[in-house]
Amino acid sequence: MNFDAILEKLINDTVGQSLGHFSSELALCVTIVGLLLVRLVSLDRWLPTYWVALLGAIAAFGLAACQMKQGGATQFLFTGLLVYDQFGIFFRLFLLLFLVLVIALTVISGIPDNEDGPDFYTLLLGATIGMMLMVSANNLLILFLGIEMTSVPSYVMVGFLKGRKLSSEAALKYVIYGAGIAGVMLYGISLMAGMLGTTDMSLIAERMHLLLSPEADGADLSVRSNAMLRTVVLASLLISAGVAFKLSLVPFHFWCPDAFEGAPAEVAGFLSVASKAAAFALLVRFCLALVGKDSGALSEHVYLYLGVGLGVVAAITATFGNLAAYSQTNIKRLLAYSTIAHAGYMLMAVAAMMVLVNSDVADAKLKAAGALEGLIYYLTVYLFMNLGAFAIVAFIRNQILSEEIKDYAGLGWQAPCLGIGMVFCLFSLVGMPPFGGFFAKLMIFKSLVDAGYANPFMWVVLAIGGLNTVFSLIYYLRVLNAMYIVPRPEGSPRVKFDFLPAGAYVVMVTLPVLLTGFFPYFPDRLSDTASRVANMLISNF
Amino acid sequence: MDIGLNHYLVVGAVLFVCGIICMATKRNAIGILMGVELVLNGANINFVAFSRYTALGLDGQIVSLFVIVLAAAEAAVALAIALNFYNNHLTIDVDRGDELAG
Amino acid sequence: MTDLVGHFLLFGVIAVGFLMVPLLIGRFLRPKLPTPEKDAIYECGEPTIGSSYVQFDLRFYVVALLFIIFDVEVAFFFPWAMVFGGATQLADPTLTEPARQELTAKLLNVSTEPSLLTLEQQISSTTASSLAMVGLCDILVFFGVLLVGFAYVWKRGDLDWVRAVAEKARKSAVFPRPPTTEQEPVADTITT
Repeated sequence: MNFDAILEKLINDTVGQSLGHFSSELALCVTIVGLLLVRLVSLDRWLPTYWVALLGAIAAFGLAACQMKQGGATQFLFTGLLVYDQFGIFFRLFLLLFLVLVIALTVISGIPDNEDGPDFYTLLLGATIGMMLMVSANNLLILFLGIEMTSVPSYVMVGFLKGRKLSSEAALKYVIYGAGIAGVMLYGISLMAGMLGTTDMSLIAERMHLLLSPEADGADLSVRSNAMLRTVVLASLLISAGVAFKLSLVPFHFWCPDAFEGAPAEVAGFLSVASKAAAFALLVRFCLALVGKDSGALSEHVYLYLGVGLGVVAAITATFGNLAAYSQTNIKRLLAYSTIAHAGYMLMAVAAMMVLVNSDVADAKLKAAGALEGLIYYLTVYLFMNLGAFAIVAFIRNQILSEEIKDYAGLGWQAPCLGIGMVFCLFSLVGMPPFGGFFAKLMIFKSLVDAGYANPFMWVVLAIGGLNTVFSLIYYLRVLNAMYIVPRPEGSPRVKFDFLPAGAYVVMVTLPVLLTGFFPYFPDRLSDTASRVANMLISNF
Repeated sequence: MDIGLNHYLVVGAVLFVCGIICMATKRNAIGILMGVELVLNGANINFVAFSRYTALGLDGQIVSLFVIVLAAAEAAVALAIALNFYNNHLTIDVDRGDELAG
Repeated sequence: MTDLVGHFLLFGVIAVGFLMVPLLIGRFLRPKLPTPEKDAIYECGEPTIGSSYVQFDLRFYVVALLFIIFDVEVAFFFPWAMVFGGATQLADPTLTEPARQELTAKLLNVSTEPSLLTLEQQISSTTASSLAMVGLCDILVFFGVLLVGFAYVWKRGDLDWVRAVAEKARKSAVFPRPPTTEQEPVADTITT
C-alpha cells in the first residue's frame, strides 16, 4: 500500500468514523472553550456560566444516548487508540448522566459563585473528559492520559475553596500521593510497552504469549524471556497500583478520607462516584487485556492469579473501610470510608469475573458476564444512593454550616424530605432488602458463589463480604440515630428547608434508589441493559 | 564499549529509584514534587530508549512528548496547590498538614 | 568492556581518594580554636544581612507557572513541524524526481536508498498538499484552544504585575483597615 492510499484511509477513518463516535467528548471540549469565551466577552453577567455547562453536558448526554440507541459492533477509533463498544458507550452515558446531576447540584447548593464558575466547570468537564477516555481506552498512552486528565482537575477541585486550611491541606495531600503514584504507574507503562514492543492494549496478551512461546527457544533465549516476563509482571503490578489509587483500594486509600473531608461535599460526591466508575471500567479492560482471548497455558495462570489477588485486595479493602468508618465523627469522612468499603464490594465482582472468565466451570463466559453485570448494576445504583447522600450533606451544610454527625441531632424531624432521603440512601448503601442496593449486592454475591466453584477461595471472599455488610449497618445507623433519635439541643435555631429546589433534587436522586428496589420493572430493565453490555464485552473478548 | 538498550534502562532505573527515595524521605512539598519529576523522567528515558532499540518504534517518542507536557501541567497544578497551602499554613512542610486525621 | 569498567572504577576511587585524603590530613593537623568572629558567615568582607533563606515574591511563582504551561505546549509543535515542512516541500509539483525521492525517504523515515523508491512509493504532490492542509487544520484547532486559554488568563489579570502588587498591599492591610473600604472581591492571584 503506498502512502497516498494510507493518508486517504487515515483521513476517511478520522473524519468519517472516529470523530462521529467521539462526538460526546467533543461536545464537552467545545463547552469548555465556550465557558472560557463567555467569561472573556463578559457575557457571564447575563448568562450565568452554569447554564453553559449544563447545556453542554446535556448535549453530550443526548449524543451518547443516541449512540447507545444505535448500538453497533465494536470498532477501533483513531487508529486503535480508543475502542468503541457497548461497554464504553454505557459508561460514557453513565458518566454524563452523573455530570448533569452534579452540575444541577452545584447550581442548587451554589458552591462555585459566579466569579469562580468558569474555573470550576472547566475543571469538572475536563475531569469528565478524562474519565470518558479512561472507559474507552485501548492504548497504554490513553490509559495514562485518561487517568492524569481525571486526576489533575480533581486535585484542584478538592482545594477549590480558597482560604480554608482544611481544603488546602486536603488538596496538597491528594496531589502529592496522586503525582507520586502517577509517576510509578508511568514507569510501569514504560516497562510494559518496551518489553512487549507495543502500547496497544489489545495486543498485550498476544505479545506475552510470544515472549513465552517455545519456538523462540534456544537455551539462553528462554532465560531471557523469563526475565522479560518477570519485568512484565512487575510492570503490570505498577500499573495496577495506579488504578488502585484511583479506586482507593487498600493500601492506596490514604488520600481518600482526607481529600473528601477537605473538599466541598459536591466535589467529594463527584470523586466518589465518577472516578470510581471510570477506574472500574478501566480495570476491567486492563485485566481482560492481560488475559487475552485464548486460554493458553500462560493466561490460565494469569487469570487465576489476577482473580485471586483482586479477591484478597477486595476483602481487605471492604473490611478496612467498614472498620475505619465505625469511629468517624465527620459525615464526609464517614462517607469516604464507606466509599472505600464499596470499592471493595465492587472489586469482588471484578475478581469473580477474572476467576470465571477462562475457567472450566460450565458456562464460564456466561457467568463471567454475570459478574460484570453485577458490577454495572451496582455502579448504577451506587450513583444514585451515594450522590443522594452527598447532596443531602451539602444541603444540610448550607443550613447549619457543619458536617459533624453530632450537629445533625434532630434534623430528621425538622427537614423531613432530606431526612427520609438520607434514610433511603443509607439503607440502600447497607444493602437492605427493599432498596436498589440490596439487588446490587445480591448480584455480586451470587457471582462470587459461581466463582467459588472455579476456585474455593472466592467463597472466603463471599463470607467476608457478607460479614462486612452486617457490620456496616452499625455505622450507617449511627447517622440515622443522630438525625431521628437524638433530640435537637435546646436553643439551637430551628432550621428551615424549602422543598424547592433542594428537596425536589433529593427526591429526584433518591427515587431511582427506591424504584430499583420496589418495582420489578426498573431493576429488570436495568439488569437487561447491564447484561447486554456485559455479554457484548465478554463475548467479544 | 557499545552503549545499548540496557545502559539507558539502567539510567532510567537509577532516576526512578532516586525519585522514589526522594518522595519517601523529603518533608518539603516542593522536594517531593522534584522526586516525582525524577520518576517521570526515568520513565521517559525508558520510552525513548525502547523506541530506538525495540519494536516500539515512534510510539515511544510520542508517549514521551505527552508525558513531558503532562508532567509540566501536573507540576504547575501541584505548585499552585503548594502555594495555596503556604498561604494558609505559612509552611510547605507536609508534616504540618495534620488537621485531617482519623 | 570489563576493562573499561575497571578503569572507570579505578579512576573514580583515586579521584575520591585524592579529595578525601587532604581533607582528612587537614582535619587532624589543624588547631581548632573557634571564636565568634571565625564562626561568622563570610560575605565578601561585609557584615551579613539577614538569613540566606530569602523568600522570593509569590508573583514570580505565578508567572513561572503560567510560563511553564504555555512553554511546554510547544513540544507538540516539533513533530508537527517536521511533517508539515516535509509535506509543503513535497507539495511543489515542479519537484525533480531525485529530490522527491529524497524528501519522501526523509518524511517516511525509510531506511532504503532514496533512489530505489519506485514511483508508486513516492508521495505525490497532491497527497502532500492534502497532508499539509490536514496538518494545518489540526494545529490551528490546537493553537486556537491554547489562545483562548491564554486570553482567559490575560483577562483574569494573572499576567498583570501591578495588579498583583496592589492586591498584595490590600491583603497585608486587610486587618487594620475597616471592612467598609474593602473593594470588590478580587480573585486570588494564585490561580487554582
